[in-house]
Amino acid sequence: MNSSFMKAIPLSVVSLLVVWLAAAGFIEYKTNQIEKEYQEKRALTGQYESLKRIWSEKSQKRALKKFETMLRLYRVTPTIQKRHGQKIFTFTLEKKNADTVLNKLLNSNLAISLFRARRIDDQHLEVKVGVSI
Amino acid sequence: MALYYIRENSIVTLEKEEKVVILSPSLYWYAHAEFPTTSLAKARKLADAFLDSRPDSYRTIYVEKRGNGFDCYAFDADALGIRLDEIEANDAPCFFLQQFSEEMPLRIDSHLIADAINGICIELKDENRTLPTLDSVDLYAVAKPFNRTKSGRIPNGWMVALLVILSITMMMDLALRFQKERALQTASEKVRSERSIYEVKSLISRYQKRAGEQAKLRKAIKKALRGRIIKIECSPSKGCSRE
Repeated sequence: MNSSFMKAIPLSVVSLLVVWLAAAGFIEYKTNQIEKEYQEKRALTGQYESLKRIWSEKSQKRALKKFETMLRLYRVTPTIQKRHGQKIFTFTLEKKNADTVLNKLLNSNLAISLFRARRIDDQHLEVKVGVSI
Repeated sequence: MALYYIRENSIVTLEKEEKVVILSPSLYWYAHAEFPTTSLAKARKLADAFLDSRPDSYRTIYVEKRGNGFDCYAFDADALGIRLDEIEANDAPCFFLQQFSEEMPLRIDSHLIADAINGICIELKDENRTLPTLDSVDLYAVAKPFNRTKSGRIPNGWMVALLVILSITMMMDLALRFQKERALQTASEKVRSERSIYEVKSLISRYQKRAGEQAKLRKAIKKALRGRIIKIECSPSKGCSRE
């Protein structure tokens, strides 16, 4: 019994170490994989959420509504046409409001697909803005 | 008269008393072991490793089959040779005192060894005569595995304790690693959107393209609006043209 016990002890130690190393290695490998996937997922989701806030259909609709409200505030009455997946606003701007309205338009998140500006006279500017819908 | 000693309830004739020298346990290292072999040569090799705690000078190994195992002895053959020369017993067969230990209550005491051998195991013609016995001066100078039960248990206890500590450490380490893996898995599952990763990747590239186009277009419009406007026409694909 003595000798078999003495033989069993180193065997048990070696087996334990092998099991330990194998299990630790496997868990480590899985952890690294999950961590990598997690970081990638987080980065992608974050990027997607920030872009979605500006360029998603919902956000574009909101931006369009804001733009229409802004035009109403400056008493600009646009003619609206829908053509080829676009909403085209045609309006005349007075010289005093032109800079403000155009700046607000350019600083908005609207996806502009067409922009035309034509001088009517020294006081008026005709603007045509196409927005993707 | 022949020399006898009793082993396994039988009387065995060994040698003539003139040719016998008993080696006291202080001159050798001893252990009883069960090896998975019946070969004495193999057992000798195994005993060499088994008696690894012996002093370095005890290089010579002798094994003798007993019961299911082997009595293993290690000794310093050169030192013993010198001592045998001293008592002029060059051709005397030597016997390890341990070989008699089953038959006598073995007390390890330098003054009692010879008496014990003579009184219990060995018959001598002359009662006043004692067998020549080789003994060292200090029996306690080196720790000896005289008591085989004791010698087997003390290191085993330590080994078991070490094994238990190793197992507990292993389990704790694995539990912590597993916990980390689960936590990451849960966190990863929480990062969810209604779309699959492939859809998200495709939408990101679409949105990025649109953002780039719009930034370029806005820059071009702002540049075109800086001068005197007559007619400006801008689109994301063509940029701005003016009259």
